[in-house]
Amino acid sequence: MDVIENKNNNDLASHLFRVESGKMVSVLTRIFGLSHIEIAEDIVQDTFLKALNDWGYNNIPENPQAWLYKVAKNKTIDYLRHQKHVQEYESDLNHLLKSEWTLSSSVNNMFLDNEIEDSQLRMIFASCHPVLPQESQLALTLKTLCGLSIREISRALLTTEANINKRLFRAKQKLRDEHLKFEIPEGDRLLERMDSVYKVIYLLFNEGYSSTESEKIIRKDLCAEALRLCQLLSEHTVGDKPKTYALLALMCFHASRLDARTDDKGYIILLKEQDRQLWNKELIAKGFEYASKASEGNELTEYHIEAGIAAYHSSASGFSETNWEAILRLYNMLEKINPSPVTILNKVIVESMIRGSEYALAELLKIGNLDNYYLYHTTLAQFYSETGNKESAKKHLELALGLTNSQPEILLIKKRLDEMVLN
Amino acid sequence: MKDYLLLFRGGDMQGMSDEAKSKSMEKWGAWIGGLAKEGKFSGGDPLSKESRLISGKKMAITDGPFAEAKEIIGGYLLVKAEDLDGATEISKGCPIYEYGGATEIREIRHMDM
Repeated sequence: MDVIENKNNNDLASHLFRVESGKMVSVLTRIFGLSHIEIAEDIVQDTFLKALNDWGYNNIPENPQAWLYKVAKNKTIDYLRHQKHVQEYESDLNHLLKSEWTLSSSVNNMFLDNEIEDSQLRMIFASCHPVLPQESQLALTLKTLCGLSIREISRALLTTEANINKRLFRAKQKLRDEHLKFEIPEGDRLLERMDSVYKVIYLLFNEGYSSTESEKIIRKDLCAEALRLCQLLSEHTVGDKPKTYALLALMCFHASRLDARTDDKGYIILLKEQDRQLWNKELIAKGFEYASKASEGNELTEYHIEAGIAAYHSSASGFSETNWEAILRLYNMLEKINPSPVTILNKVIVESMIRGSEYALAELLKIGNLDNYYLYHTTLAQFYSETGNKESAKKHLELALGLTNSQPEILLIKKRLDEMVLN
Repeated sequence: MKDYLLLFRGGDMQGMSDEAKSKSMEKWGAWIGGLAKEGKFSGGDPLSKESRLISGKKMAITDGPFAEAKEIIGGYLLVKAEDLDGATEISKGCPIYEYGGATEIREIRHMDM
């Protein structure tokens, strides 16, 4: 989805490479098999090198995508010819790749539009395979499907490049050791695998959406990629499900606020103070479109409820016009499905809108397990401050300060501490 | 299962339009793809026309072609089948007959010494 455009990225080639990398690596992995994902990555890398070399600065061909595919196909066919009697591939194409009768047509066929989509879907299921730890699923998805460099992944996931390299290396080794097939799962296994795909997409989106210290451009890209992958999923029969649309709706509603969430200096602007004119109306409309598709059928998932909450925010003309009663009902439902402390924290915030800070403060103090969560302390500080207890408010803001590494969050907390001194 | 060599003779694509050629190649692909799916396909390639013959103790060299167009071997395939009849059934799926070609089927002999 190109709704979230990348304004600062004028570099057509690097954008094109990122988009096409995910497609080509997926297609080539389909050809070589999951155990040989590195061959696929090498060929794609070589293709980009050749493009940089041939295109120079100002010589991008008219149809750069077709150019890239042609080069990648030729490199693949050369490689396969060279390895004809040496290497076996576990893909179902193995035999066809070993005969000149079928080699080049088989490779060509894999680059047809519907096969590219099919391959990307297989890659989604492979990258999100439950045998991999979640942090590896994320890194692998960003590398193989989103075409991010090691450096970009490390910045997006807030860790070192060495760490990302290690994760990717182990993940690929695991995929090899387990002899996993590069396929779209069927039957009972599909449901289980879908859930881990949803989780990774949602995590990917949250990495982009939540105010980590990574740069705004990367964060927006992550949100756009999560949306793209989820859309891809929805276009295939395995993913054409209410839950997929609920997740899409949820992400659209949140993404609509991306531009309004921070100011030019990177300060976080709270929902209450956001300029609602800056909310992306196109994405909100998309969100409602997906939400209506999500409501076909009788399945009610966490994503449905969260999308519902986000929808009420998106449709409110102002903060005080928000339908807090309706949102509270949804939080009560969410609490039944997932009674996590974070859900309860969010619910209490909504309750404060309806029943006041005094009541909410008492409720909040009942929640355990959240002492290490900075938002718990900033929320406590908010309620203390609203009920006139400045000392406690200050104490909790300071506690919060020690619990987050996120630069925008730190700025926000400091701003609130400053305001408290002034008042 | 036994192994068989299918030798394709003749079958001239030269007079065909590009479209007909690519249609025909698609048929070849579908036929071989089907065999591969059933586990009956072991290998094989098309052959180009250029050829050379080396013969005799003196290794005399002659450049080809050595046969009439309809006799020239245009390619080969290795397949698996129960018996000669099974291999014959397989060969019937080949698109070569549509443009004047023929298939010769030979069983791979095991050299037990």
